[in-house]
Amino acid sequence: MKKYILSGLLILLFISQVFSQNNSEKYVMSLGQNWEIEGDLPTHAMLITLQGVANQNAPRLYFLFPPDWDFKFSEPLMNYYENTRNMKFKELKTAEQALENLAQFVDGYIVWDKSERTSLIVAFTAAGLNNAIVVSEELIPMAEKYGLQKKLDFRGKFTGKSDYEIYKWAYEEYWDSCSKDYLIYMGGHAGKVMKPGVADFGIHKKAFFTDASTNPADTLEYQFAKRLFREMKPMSIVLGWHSYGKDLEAQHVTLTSNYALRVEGLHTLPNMSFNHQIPVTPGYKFKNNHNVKPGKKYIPEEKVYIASIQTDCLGLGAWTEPGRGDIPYAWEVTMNWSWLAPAMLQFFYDMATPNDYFIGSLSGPGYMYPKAIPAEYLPDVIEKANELMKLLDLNVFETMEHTYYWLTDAIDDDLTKEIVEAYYKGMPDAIGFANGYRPAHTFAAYDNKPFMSFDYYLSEKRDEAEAVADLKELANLNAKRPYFLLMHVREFSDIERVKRILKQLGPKFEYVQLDIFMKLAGNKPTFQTKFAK
Amino acid sequence: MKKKVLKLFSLFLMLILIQSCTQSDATIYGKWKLNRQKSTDLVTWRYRNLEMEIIKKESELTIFKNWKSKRNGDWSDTLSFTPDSAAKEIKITSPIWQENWYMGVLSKTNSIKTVSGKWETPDNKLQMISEQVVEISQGETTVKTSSDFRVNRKGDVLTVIEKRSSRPSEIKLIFDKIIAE
Repeated sequence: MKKYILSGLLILLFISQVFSQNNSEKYVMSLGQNWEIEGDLPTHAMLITLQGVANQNAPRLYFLFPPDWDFKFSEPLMNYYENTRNMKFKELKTAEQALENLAQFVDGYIVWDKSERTSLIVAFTAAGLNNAIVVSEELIPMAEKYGLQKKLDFRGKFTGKSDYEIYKWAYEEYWDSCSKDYLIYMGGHAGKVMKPGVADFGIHKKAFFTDASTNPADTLEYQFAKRLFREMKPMSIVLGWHSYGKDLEAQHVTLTSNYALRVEGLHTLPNMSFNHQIPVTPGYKFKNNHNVKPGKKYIPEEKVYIASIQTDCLGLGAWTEPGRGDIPYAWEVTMNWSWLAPAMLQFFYDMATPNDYFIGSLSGPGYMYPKAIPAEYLPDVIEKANELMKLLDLNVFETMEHTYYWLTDAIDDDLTKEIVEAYYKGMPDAIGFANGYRPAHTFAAYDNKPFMSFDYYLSEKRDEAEAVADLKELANLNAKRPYFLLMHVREFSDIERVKRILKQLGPKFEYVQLDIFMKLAGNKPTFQTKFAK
Repeated sequence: MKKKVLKLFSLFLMLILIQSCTQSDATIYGKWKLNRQKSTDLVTWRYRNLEMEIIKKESELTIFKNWKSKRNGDWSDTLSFTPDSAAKEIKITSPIWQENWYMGVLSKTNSIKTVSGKWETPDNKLQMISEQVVEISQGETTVKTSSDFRVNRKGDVLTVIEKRSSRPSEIKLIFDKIIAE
């Protein structure tokens, strides 16, 4: 009886939550393809900050991003909300219309300086703390037309100052008031372009924004980044992306991992202040498409077994491209979306065909490098990742290790025996592990569960005939049968292309889903055990 | 009139024939740059661009390969051997296997690579045979590579056809001569 009352209360709670969400007027607006400082960036930046502020207490404003945007799902996700959450969106056609309808939620505006790009990044931090939008000089009249008053003015304030000096000023001014759970790296595109897709979420969470270099050669900015990371809560989230103009992905993730921080890309991740507030449907449980039958023994034949994993986050690349569902395919799940944007992740699970199999990633509960994580944090990191694996019904986990990659001419991408064993210990229900990005060289098997590195990286640019020759050559080099060939498919290779390549491999190859592949490999591992020295 | 035209035409044909039979003095020596557009799609380690210098000192050949990258720095390897003589042994010092960055293959460090060669036409057409141990997911194995070097008549294009014992198709590399300024 108590159970029924509790269930009823939970359903009522959900209905009231959905009702309150649906009760708020919802708006949708399309953003264009120009993100240049001297182009449409000022208007786009104003709108994205408006989104962050207007969505503060309820999801009100949603954007449709242009076709060349990294994440391709803004429109299908909106359709999903309309169909499954009964949401109705009112279309906004201009920035003026957006302000007319939503300026009521804004306390003022902050002026950034178009001649000093970094002033916009600082303005995002200030916008979150002041419940304000950001405008460039020419947009001031528009903001004032809708009753907004100037809160701060960065025009000329940072002229002649280095990024380090600007960020140091911002740190002294804002850091104490900012969230220590979220940090926004407003990097990615550099120079005259900025694509601050994730800025709305940073504003929503009152996060500090930066693109400080994590390249040790940039001494001052590097030390500054270290200071921020050190002062964040361990296991907190660094959203966004490193600056393509300042440092390397490997440098960035190494440094964040040094402080047990979890990177969640990219800088273009859209509509998160909206998506963050939409829960999964009542009673919903994430359900993966498992293929392994309990109790069945999987014995490999004298063949080459091949399986594919598409990495680099759901929603980038092939998910919305033709061919999905035609062949067994494994997809890296961005596990933190389960709590950062629950309905958005449900959207992917609901869309999945029986041939779409999800796996956990990447090294932890977020993007991390195992070797860079302090040893005292590694068990907690793995435990947290394992909790998310269970929630998301995942039983294969993927790691990636590039801590020393950029220092060793891309040779060192392997894990030590101790680290591999820590994953086995912390994820006892996993049926296997995948490792690497480009091919790596860590291989092991314990209790019929393999830990296997990618043996092939299928680039979207690789000539198809040469890709076929590469795979056949690998099968010739690895002459023992069965041979287990794990292939990483770069997200921009759509499945039609993968199908054409697989079709040319011949009868000695058998293409299987990843979970079956792991079971087969675990039962007869023919790879040689190898760890990083 | 007709006879005169016929004579001139025959003379012209003979000239072409003589020229085609005459040995070109073009050699494979000098500095060469890989023409990626005309070559087999090559995925070199970290997408480096290959430049190559072939030097002859007495009868010994040295092939100096410089894999260039502004972003990631250059990487080079050198091998010397004497064509039509015993194979030369070279110690492998780096795990980088420049041939293909997408495959799970590494050179085995501290292993011995053997190189030999023979002239088909001295200074102009060379066949080089190399054998090296590579590390793969199943352990290690030996790869034998035959590389045929041919320079065109003009001496400004070098074609290298590589056949690896493990690969089902050959790799065609087209190099343009780097002319010293």
